[in-house]
Amino acid sequence: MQVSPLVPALATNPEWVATLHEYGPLLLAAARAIARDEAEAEDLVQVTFERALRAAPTIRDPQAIRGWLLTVQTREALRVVRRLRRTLRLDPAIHELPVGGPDTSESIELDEALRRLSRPIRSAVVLHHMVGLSVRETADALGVTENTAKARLAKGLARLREWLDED
Amino acid sequence: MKTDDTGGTSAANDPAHKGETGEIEQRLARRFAVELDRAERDYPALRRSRDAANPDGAMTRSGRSMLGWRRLALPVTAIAVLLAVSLVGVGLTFRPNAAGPAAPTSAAPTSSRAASGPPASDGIPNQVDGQRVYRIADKAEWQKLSGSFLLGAYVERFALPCAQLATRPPAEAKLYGTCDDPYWLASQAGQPYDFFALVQPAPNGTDALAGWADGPAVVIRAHTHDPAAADCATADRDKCERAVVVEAVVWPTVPMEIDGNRIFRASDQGLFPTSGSFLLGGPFEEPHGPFEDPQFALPCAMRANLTNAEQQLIPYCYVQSIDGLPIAPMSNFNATRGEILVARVHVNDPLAAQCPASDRADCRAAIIVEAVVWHGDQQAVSATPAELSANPSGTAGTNPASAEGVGPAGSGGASGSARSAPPSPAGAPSALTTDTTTTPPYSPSPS
Repeated sequence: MQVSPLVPALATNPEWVATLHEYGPLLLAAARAIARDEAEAEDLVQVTFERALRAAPTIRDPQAIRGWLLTVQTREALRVVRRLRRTLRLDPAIHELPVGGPDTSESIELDEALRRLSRPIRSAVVLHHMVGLSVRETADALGVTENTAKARLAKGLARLREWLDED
Repeated sequence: MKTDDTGGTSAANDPAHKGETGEIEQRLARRFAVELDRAERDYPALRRSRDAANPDGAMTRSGRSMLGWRRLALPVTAIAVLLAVSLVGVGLTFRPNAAGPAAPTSAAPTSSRAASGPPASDGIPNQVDGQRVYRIADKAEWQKLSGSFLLGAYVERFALPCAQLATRPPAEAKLYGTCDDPYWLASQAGQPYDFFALVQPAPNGTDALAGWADGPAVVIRAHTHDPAAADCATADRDKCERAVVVEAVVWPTVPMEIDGNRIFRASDQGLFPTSGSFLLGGPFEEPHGPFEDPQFALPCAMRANLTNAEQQLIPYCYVQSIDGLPIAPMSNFNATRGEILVARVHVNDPLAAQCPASDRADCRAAIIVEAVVWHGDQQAVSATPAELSANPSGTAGTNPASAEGVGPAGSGGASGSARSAPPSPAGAPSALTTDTTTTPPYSPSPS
């Protein structure tokens, strides 16, 4: 009897690489929203891919990949290495605004309010209210309990309301 | 406005809450939709920007992006140094059963590759069998050599997202990789981002590296100026000539057989006996990497509602491997990351019958380690090889793992550590040979 090989090295599997690329735009958008820094966002996507390729043999459920990738990326964004803040900010694209879309002044206002949030709180807001993860998925991605995630979300929205002067 | 205990409503993607979404949440959702559109447009360019490769195969990046990677260099380098020190500390030096009561008389086979002296500070020996071991930093020297040479390195496995290149002619495809080819030779362990200290070996030959990825230092026999370079297009000829073609890993050595029992390698996976125990040899690895730190726990993508059988057989999240092959979680043994070992294993475990049909093939293919029968760094060998001799692999009825645990029923050797098993002269393998070579060294044609 021939036994099928178990968990072939997916890192070498073009299909796996292609699957990762399908999530590239989502990861890039989420990374931009969390990092508020173009170069760091690109790094986050890159590191997430690198981690995903290394961890390929452990990922068996296609349904879990999206959340898993976002989790990897978010935790990476929150890692201590990010304290090594870049001193050079030469890229004019950092503050690039999207072309079109809703009212640009509204976007500027919202972006500035998001930027004022601390990264853990902003990450929670981005993952739950922007990307669309459930509270539980958000908590998993942040590596915190659901209650902590809820508290961050509540605090984040309260501050956004305050800063955006919502009635 | 109705809110939940997060201070707002649920995610924008949750249709059940669409009607209740507050103004802030709606603005956030609209903002992300715009960001997603922008990312859809920008992502192809990002992929292309990661696609450039310099003539030596090392990745190049835009200056701005490189800043980000350079930013990671310090912590990554620090971790790499710690890794290297720890690997040296745990004894990566290959000591093929040089002594000890249970060591086979041929445990230090004359034909094995012998590193002369301890590894240097980078964990790589300076000589093997009297031959100089070059380093990646010696590129200017070894690239000029016309025959085979020894190159010490760490094998890193990673592939960077990049645009697929157009199909290359066969010669080029054999000799230089793209960013999607996963194997790299690095001067230090866990240092995948120092692109200037990396060499991407020719795809034609990287099979020999598979089991060594992210593992201990290795010495490979390789050559440049491969004859296939003559078939490359003129524009690519120089690059093809410089390509490093791996012939074999010559150090550390992995035994080929114990007591006449073949020791299988990952490359033999299609030949694994489907009944009975057999021996699997190679480096033992556990998850690790340059990003490993206590503050970052790699999230697990394990499915919910797995059966007990699946959890025991299928390696989901914490993957240990031998020779690069993931092993079943139900395996129970002690080993040190990076060490060379030989384990008695089996596939087609009876427990696989309890797996759902959708996963049964994976369950059957799961590699269960019953015991480690030989450690590259130990002085004694456990008694298990004798059992192998008595029950040669492939014999009906020798496969054996019970549904409750691992290993042959009644062997007593299945649980716990092979290291902890008392050495038994009677059980010691009487013959052990090492994998000295599988392919002859390359030498240029006399012409």
